[in-house]
Amino acid sequence: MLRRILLIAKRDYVASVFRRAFLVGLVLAPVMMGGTFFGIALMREMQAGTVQRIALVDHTGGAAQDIIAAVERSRDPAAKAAQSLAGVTYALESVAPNEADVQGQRLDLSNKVRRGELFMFADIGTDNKVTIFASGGGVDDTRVWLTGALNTGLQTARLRAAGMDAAAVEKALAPVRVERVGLVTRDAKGAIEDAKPRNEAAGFAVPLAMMFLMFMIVMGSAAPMLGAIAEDKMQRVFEMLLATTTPFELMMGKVLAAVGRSLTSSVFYVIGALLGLSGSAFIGLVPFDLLPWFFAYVIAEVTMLSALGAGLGAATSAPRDAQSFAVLLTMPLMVPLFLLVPLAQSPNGTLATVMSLVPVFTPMVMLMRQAMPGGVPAWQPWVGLVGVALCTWFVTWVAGRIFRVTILMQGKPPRMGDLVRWAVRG
Amino acid sequence: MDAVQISNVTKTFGAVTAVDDLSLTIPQGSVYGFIGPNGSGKSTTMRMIVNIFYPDSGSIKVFGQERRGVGAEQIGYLPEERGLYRQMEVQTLLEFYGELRSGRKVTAEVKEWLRRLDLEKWGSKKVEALSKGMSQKVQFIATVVPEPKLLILDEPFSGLDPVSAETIREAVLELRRRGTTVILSTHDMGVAASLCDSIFMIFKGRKVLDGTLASIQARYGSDTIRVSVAGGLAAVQGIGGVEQVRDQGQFQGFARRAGV
Repeated sequence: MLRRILLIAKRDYVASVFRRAFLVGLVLAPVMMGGTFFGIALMREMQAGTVQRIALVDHTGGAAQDIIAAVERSRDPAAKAAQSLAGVTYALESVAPNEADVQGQRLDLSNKVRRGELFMFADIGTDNKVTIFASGGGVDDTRVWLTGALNTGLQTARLRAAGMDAAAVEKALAPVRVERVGLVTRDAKGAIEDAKPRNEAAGFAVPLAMMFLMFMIVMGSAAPMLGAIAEDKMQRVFEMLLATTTPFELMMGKVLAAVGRSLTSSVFYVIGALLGLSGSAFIGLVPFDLLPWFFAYVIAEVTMLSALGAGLGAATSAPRDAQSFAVLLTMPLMVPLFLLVPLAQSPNGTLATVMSLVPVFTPMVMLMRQAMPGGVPAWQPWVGLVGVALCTWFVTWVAGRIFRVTILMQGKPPRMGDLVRWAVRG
Repeated sequence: MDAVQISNVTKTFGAVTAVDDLSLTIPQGSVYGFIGPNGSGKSTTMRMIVNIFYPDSGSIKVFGQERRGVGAEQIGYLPEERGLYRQMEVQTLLEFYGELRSGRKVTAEVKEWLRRLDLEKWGSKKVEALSKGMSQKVQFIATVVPEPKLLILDEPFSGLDPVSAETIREAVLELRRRGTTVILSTHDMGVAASLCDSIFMIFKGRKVLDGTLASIQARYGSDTIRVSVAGGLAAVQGIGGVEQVRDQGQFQGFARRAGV
């Protein structure tokens, strides 16, 4: 039995891994993702040194200089971050207001923005209102940090107008600096170790990267099973095989080939990532202790979903019909991605904990939680893994029953009721 | 020991009874023809012998054993609905099927069969490059490598050109000379008469007749004379002793009453 399963797996593995589509996909996916980061870095490099001019039309008679001073002192961390991210320097300049023709001046400045002579302009009114005029729409970080600078500058101007010591007030009202760190621990020798500062971006990036990697690998290995079985069925290759093997052996051979494909992709990506990060400061972010869990989850998820794909693919008569079942295969992968934000915001909250213990979501969600700073209680990954193993066994058993009944069946596409009946009756 | 012994086998699909209380014994070393119209139960019976379908009731023994106990290498099966992995090379594909059945490398046997069926130049070509006739020959090779003790061929000649059909026919006869038991289904009485030792006729899932060709001919045979008559059908009708007349275009067939 095992010999035949392995032989079928070997044939399917070789036939799929050495196909151009697999090889291109294997290389193209990281190239596209890496290309995005490279593109951002390149754009930042190209923009470095670029000066964007922002005009301030000051109707108050003095606030503009305070705003410019506020920006130049770079007191606003948001301004600093925004300027650094874009690789652009923003230069603020004061423009004398034309009170006789306010709208005419606004039109002139708008035309300058259109011609690229200005990035944007702000109209500072005497009624405690500032209007920012800019082209385009969407989310613009510039407005966010500019608002901070405008507030600071205007507050300074008002304090001065009220005869108060602006510096003293400013010092009293200076926002507190909040730093987030991990938990205090005790080392192997019993000494208390100070809490380490948290890199929040890295703390989010690593789990996110692992989730996307798993998504990419499982989608590339298990999801094609549905169409592939339907395609083989349409080409009538199964009846001859079934004279030699049992349907379960045939299905398990195909599932094993999918697991082989996923491990090939995993090893390729993991080694590629390690090579890419070696020598850089980011190598310290790689969660080596999670790699065994990552591989275990990949194997379980691919086994479960490819078995399901085989069962559903066998129940259809053509690849076109198989597409209607594709959502069943992609749902365990898509739902955690849709809920990424609430899951990441509260990795040990009720939603994340419950989802990570629901077997179909365990691989994606538990891995994400494990990769988060702080991790998860030690028992949870083990319980999750046992649940995944049991669910994988059950799904494979059900898929095997559907596969056996339907593999030689032709005709109309099955309904959900048919699938349940075949799964129950065998 | 008989090659196949089918005892009171019934198989239903929903409300349809495909095979109804069938009993049949196929002796070793014979060529046994399954005859019947489409949907009569020939393929279902074959699939049950091969163990693709399980009977609802009754039993099937192959070489004296329950079918599940018979090794895959002992049975070669050519299904009616043919298909091969189109992206694989012919030699690799045949070795895959052969190894799957026998558990050993079959490179030499595959090469020998490719040579025998005049396909040796196509071994390194992909299946998708083959003509329909060549694909069917490749599938036939996949069925007979390694050499099985029982060969089951479902409509082996359908869609084949006369030359390819003759090649397959000779290969079947050669296997039979080496002791292989052959079961084949066909619609063509001519094929059955020229190739088979025994015939089993099935209709609507029920056995109509079975036995050796000679015994069936003795029991049911009638003499037929083919004549061309200038007057056509009308000229033949009414002649004494003519029992049945059938217009077949170029000639009219008529059966005579015994003794006339």
